[in-house]
Amino acid sequence: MTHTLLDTPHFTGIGRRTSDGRHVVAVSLRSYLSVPEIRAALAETLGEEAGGAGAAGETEFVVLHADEAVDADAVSDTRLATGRLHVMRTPGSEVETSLAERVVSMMTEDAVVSMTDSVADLGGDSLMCLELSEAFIGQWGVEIDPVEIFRANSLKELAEDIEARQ
Amino acid sequence: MTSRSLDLLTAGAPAAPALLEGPRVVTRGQARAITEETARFLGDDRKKLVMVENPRSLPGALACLAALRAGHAVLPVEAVTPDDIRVHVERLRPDILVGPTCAAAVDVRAGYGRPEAAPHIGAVRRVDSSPGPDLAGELALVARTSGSTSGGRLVRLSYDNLASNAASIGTATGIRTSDVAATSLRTDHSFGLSLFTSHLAAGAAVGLLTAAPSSARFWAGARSVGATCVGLVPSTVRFLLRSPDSLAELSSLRTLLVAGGPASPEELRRLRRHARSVYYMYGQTEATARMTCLDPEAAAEHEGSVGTPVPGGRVEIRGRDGSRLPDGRLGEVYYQGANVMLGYARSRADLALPDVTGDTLRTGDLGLVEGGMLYLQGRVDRQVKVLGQRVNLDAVEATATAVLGGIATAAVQPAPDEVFLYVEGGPEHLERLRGPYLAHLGVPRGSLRLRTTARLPRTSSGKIKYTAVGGTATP
Repeated sequence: MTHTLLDTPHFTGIGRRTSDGRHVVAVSLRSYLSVPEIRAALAETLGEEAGGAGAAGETEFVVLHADEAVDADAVSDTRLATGRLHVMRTPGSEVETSLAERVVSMMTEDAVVSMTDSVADLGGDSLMCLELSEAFIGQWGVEIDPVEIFRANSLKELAEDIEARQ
Repeated sequence: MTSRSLDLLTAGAPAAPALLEGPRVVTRGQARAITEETARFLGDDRKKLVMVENPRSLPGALACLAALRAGHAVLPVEAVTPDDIRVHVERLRPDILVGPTCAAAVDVRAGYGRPEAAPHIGAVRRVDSSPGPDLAGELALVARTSGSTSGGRLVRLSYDNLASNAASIGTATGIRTSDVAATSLRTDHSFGLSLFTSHLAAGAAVGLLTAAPSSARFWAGARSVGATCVGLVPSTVRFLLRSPDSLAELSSLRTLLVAGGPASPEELRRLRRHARSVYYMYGQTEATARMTCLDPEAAAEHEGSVGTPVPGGRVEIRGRDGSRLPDGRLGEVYYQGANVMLGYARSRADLALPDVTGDTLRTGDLGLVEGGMLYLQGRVDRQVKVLGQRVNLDAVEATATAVLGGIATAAVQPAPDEVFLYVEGGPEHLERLRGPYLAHLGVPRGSLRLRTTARLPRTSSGKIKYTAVGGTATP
């Protein structure tokens, strides 16, 4: 059973509860939002809806391409299995925690960062990678090329890379 | 005959788009009407220096166009803090400040009037009294060089410089009236400025974006304005090639312009898989923007070349004695053309100076010409480009040595966008450099690698032998 999300200036969307009780949503963006910005906006939107999913990060979501329809198919099991599903993962290790804190300090106030986010998901650019590269040298004495930081699939992967090089 | 104003909106139909920002479209007809009204607001009592904040916003772009049309001189500034603005104000004493940060950064005690709200271009402040000698009649724009070690040297560009280089680039890269350039680079640097001027002059549109082209935000914006042309510096090319989906998803993309430093033939080859036309260009702010262009048709045959001079330009290779060298001989690159600057400036008084350069520019780059194509081979002196910024390796060494109390150091650039600084002695020296001093070495953050070495190799006369540096170094 799907439900349409409240219309916002930033996105339209559709969601459903999966058989194992997770809340999944497909969003079609009207303007660019980074993944942490979408997460925060979803929490706000869903919080306003009766019986909403509540806190930031509880909802898992896919971002639809501009030419994809916002319909039941968008949140079907097949679509979710083939698309990039953004889930919330909080930091575990010490390095992950420090890395997440560093990244959060570079983002807007309400952004909700997950360890599954990549630098591109964060809306980051080459400058952010340069700043992170320098921060890693200062904090852990580890040199990681800015392009390698950009290429990492997630913050979790980046934290593992830092730990491996320490 | 020199021009004393520039209207970049004359080409193209009145209903054609000129400026796009998010969902807003300003047609060429509307832009002309707005710039005419704004030009009146700026005043025609005398020629003025107009400092414009963020020309990659709609108000900023319109203010620049209006000032050029009215025959004033523009000082574009981007990503500025109030402190940056006060430095500019102190040094160049602009007659008019345009933009909210500019208007808020100074007050009546600094000799500027109360903020006015100008239609279309927002907050404006005017200087109370004329700050000294008249500006040179042909002065159109004051640009920054990319150098961080150049002591804040500014470049004076004329109306003829802007008009000729915009037209040359338009011809060299085949700009069509249906094109839309995304502003991927700062307009207070020459490459970004040339994207803006060349497209508008050719009757094409400009999509105003401020995000960096290495961010997903930029590419979402590029899709929304239907960008057909994007300008990239080599460091951004490296980022994009690691994550080429952004390029692939911009279905409107026709042309990529690459300039601002050396890009490898391999990177350019890979980039060509993602855009129909990739133009590799060579230029300097001192030549307004671009001097040569490698046509995509010639790219495969002339790999490693920066191409031929843009229309109206000429390249010569000269020896140490200034004599012209034949094809195939390595020497310093000299460029001749109507886009060669009036000269440098350090203060407001310099803006009154006439053309002191003529039409010939000594580039300081080493190169050779073969079959009409220019091949570059580094700098004559020790200035290199790192992430688009000019870095003086000698200055990096001097600063590091000063911080370390006289310990010898050697800065070299073994690969594009990387500077290695070798320090004689043990790792404790690196710790001292890694502190707050790191930012003062003049190398873009993240591009500096520190290494220690027991002894730097030297020539018999005691000078550092740069070609042998790095053999026994440890990180």
